Amino acid sequence: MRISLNWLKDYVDIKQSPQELYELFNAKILEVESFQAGGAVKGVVVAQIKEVNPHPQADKLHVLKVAAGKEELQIVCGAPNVRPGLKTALALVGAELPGGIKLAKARLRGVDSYGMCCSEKELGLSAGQTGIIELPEDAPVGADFAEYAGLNDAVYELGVLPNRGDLQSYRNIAIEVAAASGAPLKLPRIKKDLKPGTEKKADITIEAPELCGRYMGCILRVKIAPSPDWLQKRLCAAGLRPINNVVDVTNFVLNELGQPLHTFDYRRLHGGRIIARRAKPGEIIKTLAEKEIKLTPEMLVIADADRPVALAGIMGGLESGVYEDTETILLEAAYFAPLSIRQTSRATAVRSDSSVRYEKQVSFDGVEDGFFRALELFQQTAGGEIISDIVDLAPGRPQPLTVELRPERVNKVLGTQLTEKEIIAILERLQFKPRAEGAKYVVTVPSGRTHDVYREIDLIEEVARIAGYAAIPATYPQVTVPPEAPAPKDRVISVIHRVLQAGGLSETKTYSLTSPEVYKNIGLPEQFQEPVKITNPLSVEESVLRQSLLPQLCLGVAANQAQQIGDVALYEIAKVYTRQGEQLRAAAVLTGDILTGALNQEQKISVDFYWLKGLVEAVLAECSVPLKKLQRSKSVFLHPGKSLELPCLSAGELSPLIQKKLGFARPVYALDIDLELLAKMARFAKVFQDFSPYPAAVRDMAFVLDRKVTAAEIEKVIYSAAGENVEKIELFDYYTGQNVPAGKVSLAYSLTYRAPDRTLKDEEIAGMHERIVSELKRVLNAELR
Amino acid sequence: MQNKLNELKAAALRDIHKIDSIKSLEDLKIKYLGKKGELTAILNGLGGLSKTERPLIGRVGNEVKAALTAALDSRLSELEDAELQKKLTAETIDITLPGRRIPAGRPHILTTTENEIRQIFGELGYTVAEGPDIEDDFHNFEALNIPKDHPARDMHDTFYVDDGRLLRTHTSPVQIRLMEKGVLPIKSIMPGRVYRCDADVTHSPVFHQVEGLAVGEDITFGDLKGTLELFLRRMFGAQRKVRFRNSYFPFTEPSAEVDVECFVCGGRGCPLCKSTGWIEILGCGSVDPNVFQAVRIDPEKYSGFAFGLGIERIAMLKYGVKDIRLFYASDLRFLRQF
Repeated sequence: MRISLNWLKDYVDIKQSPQELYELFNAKILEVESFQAGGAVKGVVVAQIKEVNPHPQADKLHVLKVAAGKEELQIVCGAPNVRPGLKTALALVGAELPGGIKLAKARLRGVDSYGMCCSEKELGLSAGQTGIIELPEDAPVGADFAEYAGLNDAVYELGVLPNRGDLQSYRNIAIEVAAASGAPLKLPRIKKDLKPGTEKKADITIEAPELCGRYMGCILRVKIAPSPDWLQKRLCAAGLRPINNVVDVTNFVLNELGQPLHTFDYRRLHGGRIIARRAKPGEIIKTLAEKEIKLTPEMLVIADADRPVALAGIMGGLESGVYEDTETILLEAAYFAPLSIRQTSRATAVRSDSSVRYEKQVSFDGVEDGFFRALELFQQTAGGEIISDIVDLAPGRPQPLTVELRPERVNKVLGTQLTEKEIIAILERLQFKPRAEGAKYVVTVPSGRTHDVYREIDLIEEVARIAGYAAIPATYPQVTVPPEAPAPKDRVISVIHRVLQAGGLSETKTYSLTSPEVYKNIGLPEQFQEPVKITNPLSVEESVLRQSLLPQLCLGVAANQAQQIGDVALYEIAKVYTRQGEQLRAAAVLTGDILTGALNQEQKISVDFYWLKGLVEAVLAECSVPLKKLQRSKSVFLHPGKSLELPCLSAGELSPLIQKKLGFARPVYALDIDLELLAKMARFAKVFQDFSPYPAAVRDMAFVLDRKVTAAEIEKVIYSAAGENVEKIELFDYYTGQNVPAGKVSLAYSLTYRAPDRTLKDEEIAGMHERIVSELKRVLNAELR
Repeated sequence: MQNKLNELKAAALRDIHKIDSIKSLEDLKIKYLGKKGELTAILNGLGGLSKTERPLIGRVGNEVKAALTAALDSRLSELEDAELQKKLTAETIDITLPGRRIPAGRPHILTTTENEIRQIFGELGYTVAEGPDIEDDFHNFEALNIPKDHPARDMHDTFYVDDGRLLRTHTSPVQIRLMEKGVLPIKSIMPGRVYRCDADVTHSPVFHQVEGLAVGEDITFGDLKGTLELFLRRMFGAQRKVRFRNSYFPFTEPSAEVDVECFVCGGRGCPLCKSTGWIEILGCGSVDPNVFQAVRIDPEKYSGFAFGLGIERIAMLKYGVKDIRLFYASDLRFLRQF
């Protein structure tokens, strides 16, 4: 809602500066979405051109004699529309114009100019007007132009909240400002005892009372003409274009009181009838905006004897509208059911200043205010003459709404110390009518607020905001809730963050919504299992809920590589979704080099399967999950020969299908963890493991054996051969190639021997070492080197 | 004899002074003080002197020895010092060469921001509650006092899924689920992903919220104010002004929007705050009695407050990120900055 300060001042004595009012709106009434304080034009007066003489040196310039109040000034002007008698805006020497321009005396091609005749553009009024501004003949010469044109006005754009449709009117905003600031109200007194006419009978019927709770109407004779100046100025200030006196009055009342009105050309109403009814199937209306709309029986129309003449509360029909040749009008003021207006407005995609008010509910009592205010203004500005009876059908008249209020409850809810007097005063200033009844009050709610204020808590809110949130003391809840130990899931999450970040991976976040084609896009056959689909997606790319984190991570690698970032290491912790439920997972992708520094390129480590496995081992170790049940992975995402699977995760090189499709030059590795299962397996209760105080002995051994023998088999043999005094086995060389027969591998292990209870003797160690060697030979056919 | 000693002392001191390497200094030490050194020879010859001469020459001899030892030590220390300086100069490296890159990844800025919020409310004694992303109409709307055809549904551009459910438009349904459990009092925050069908540089169809809920017997609107002022000053600076503006949400009454004094211009006005000096941070209010009724909590006995904020919005404001899509682009140039 656009609010002109000058207009608002008609209804409330505002003493505050525009800036202070801005703050008041924000704190207690509605948010100000934008605000112009006005006052950018200074020192410009209304002036009249007396003489137009040619410039001695320039064909396109004129030398004018201009009357600006007391004095006559010589002005040089290049505008084509100068003529004697024209009234225009003259910027005097020292004037200020929009954009921070300050006018000085000028000499133009040898002739002095004591000011400048201004165009609309120079005054900041419009963008591209050529020539100086042309003012009406009645413009008062010498008057301050900014004052005259309303440029000193401050303009506020208020964001209307869904529950405060009533604040789409100057009157109700004035009430709020008065209540919030204490300024006196001066609302217009509306004359409701107008004398009806007898010439005609207003034939009005409500056939759909559930959608039309009230309908007021009467017939007037009018003289269509431009509106008087004051009315045009008000409409301009509200951002509306003046049309003619009848239309302007309805727009004025709409803004002033928030009551939408409609005027029909009475001669164009077939049968002279008005019927508020549901549309018949197949009916069509052509609106004032020249749009043809197919109607359905859910929609309320205003019809004459034969056809719909208005889409009720939303827009009038083209044919029955008021035009230059209109002589008699039928004025409508009504109350329509908000939900029906909202649904019809949506279904037809027609919105108007009326519909945005009706759909947020207008005041039932306000219907007659708007009606009579318009009649009065028609009489004043359009020679309006009431020639029929005044009809007021109100089948939906509600009972007055009362709400009980316990003053002590106000303070209990808010944490304030307001007195009963203060509370009641606030409600009264907002036009509520409180009546004491024992310890409590019975409060009658004003007609326009009943949809929003119908419980005690709603009254308490009114008190809170007008008293001001700033005045409510800041305290803390005196409530203690027993703290929770971190859930295993949260601990696992923090382990994953810590380990993966230390391993060089950065966390990313990608949409939970993805394309149904996402598997195809990364080169895999379809994997979706009945994905949950969005019925109203923004795009097909975001139309199903994902079932794996990996596709978007793979695409993340590709996106980085498209930016010449070859080394990519990303992970995400997020949910995946199936029809059975939601599951928290963690996934990672990594490729390229792990740099140790540009100065030692030879120290680069290329990411490989074992780097990834190292990360897996670190995560599992932190969760005290033993690396058991290791298997080759069957995941479609992974290379079957270079991947592993544990009950809670899979890890390995990405499937060659993905790498080929996304054009990865170097192998990309991926990890996918079932975080919820890992959390179930994780043990965070650690027990101290005592370590031996006796010295360790380190012995190396190197042997050649068949490549098909796995490290796991070798370790198993070592441990079973040497028993518990082998503390640690470390593989430090794995070699195939020169000097190693084809199909064989040379391995070097470092074994640490230590006993918990004594220093091992050299002979004991030698014995264990020999046993290991012979067992390796016996079981695995390993040849010692 | 005494003269001979004094001459020897003078000659030795001259020699010591001239020496410029640790090695030659050691040779010199041997020359005078070694087993076969000149001074040693003299002192060894004391036996041949008379009884009267012996103590005198012995004393002078020891004095000379002490003087020479001191001079040698001092010269040695000088030379060692010089040598160290030379070594340090020779070893000087270019400290402007780039450091070695530690292969450490970074947490996502939204995680960092969320953790900051969790931390503050954790200290205030709030627990963390979570719930499903796919919700039903009751938990996302009905129970929150947003019945069908309520105009407030227009403010939530809801994604619907094919089985009639929807993607939660806020984490408020977690509040409902928490209250449904009936364990009171409550002090909890609810972080999580939420969804709205809206996309531009400041709106993402998928984004994150943290909401908070406190329910107890005497919780007031003033408690809400105190709690949020404390939170926002921890988040944006201890001196920041905080203001509460009247607003409307169906699930709270009274409702407020909360602004923080602009942390770029300090309230003087700048493009970030659109010259208002204030930045809108969150929405909040006292829990509406209708919400309590929907979860069978007696609104006469219990009261409470709730608030909600968008993590992306906070991060965009705090770190000057202009395009919300960057949070979801997996672009390492972005991710590695935070």
